[in-house]
Amino acid sequence: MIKRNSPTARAIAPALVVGLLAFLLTVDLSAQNSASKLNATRRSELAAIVAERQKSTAALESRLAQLRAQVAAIAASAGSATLRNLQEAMAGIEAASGSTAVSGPGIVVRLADAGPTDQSTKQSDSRIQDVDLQQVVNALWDAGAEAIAINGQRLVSTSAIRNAGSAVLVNFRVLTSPYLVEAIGDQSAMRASFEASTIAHRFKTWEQVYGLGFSIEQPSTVQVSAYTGSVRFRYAQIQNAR
Amino acid sequence: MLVVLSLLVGIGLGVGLHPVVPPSWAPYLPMAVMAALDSVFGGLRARFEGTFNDRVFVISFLSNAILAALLVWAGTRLGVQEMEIAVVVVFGVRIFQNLAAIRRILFHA
Repeated sequence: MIKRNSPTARAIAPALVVGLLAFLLTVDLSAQNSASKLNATRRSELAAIVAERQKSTAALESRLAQLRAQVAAIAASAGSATLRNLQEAMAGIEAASGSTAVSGPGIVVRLADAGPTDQSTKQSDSRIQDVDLQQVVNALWDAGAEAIAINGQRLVSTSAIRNAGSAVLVNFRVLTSPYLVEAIGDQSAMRASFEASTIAHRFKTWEQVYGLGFSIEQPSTVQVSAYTGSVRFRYAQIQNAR
Repeated sequence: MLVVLSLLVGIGLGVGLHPVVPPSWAPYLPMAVMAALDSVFGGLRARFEGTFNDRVFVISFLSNAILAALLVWAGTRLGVQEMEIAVVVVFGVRIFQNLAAIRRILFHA
């Protein structure tokens, strides 16, 4: 048994205390580590749920497309003259409303977030925001675009372009950088008009100041896909005032 | 020598045993570690100043660590949610003061 005030006890006690500290420190460090790991697993679980929902949405959409094709086939098989006239009229309306895929000459505006260059600039400065896309789209409509899609999301009368966190939603679908704004219209006129727009000038500046990606391409044919969301109006009624 | 050995054994045990901290303890362990760090730097300072007393060192280490954890626990019980900040500020300031004293003794600056 070691005496309380013996030299051995006096040498051992502080050493034990320091050992205890080292033990506590390492335990605490590893605990913090596993805590952040726990957060990471939770995040990946949430991501899995989101992915699952997106998959089911995609499945429902393909089912919707199937049913629409069926309806079209049935309509096509019944062939009276009035029906054909109506179908022609409907095809025109569909093209105008965005429920059919269209292709033609046009331009593609490519917008991209800046890379993670330096930390001093604000996050919002190095990212493409909803407003940027809205203004680009407005400029394109103004330049005479007939159909516009952003990353394959067709813009229709009910489309909204908005931010949700750090992502941009178009037709409630999450889009990420790079954003390809495809517009069909008179190539040279549309391009000239778009390049003269305020937003195009701003983007040329931002490209240099913040490193945002900005380019205009002019492929011979631009494919603008169909709007795939639901188009049911429950409250808006057609008014027969003519 | 013995101290260094003990330090290494402590680290080895912490890494090797990989003990699981119960979630209910999680907020209190960092507080105890803060207090313990303060005691160790205080002891180091006392050593350089020639006033080191092993009994004071051991008792202050244990009591500081336990009291800090208890204080935070009592705080959460009383509805003072941010008791950790009090502990962090107090021991943070003391650690810096001790380090400054050590620096003054070591470098005479």
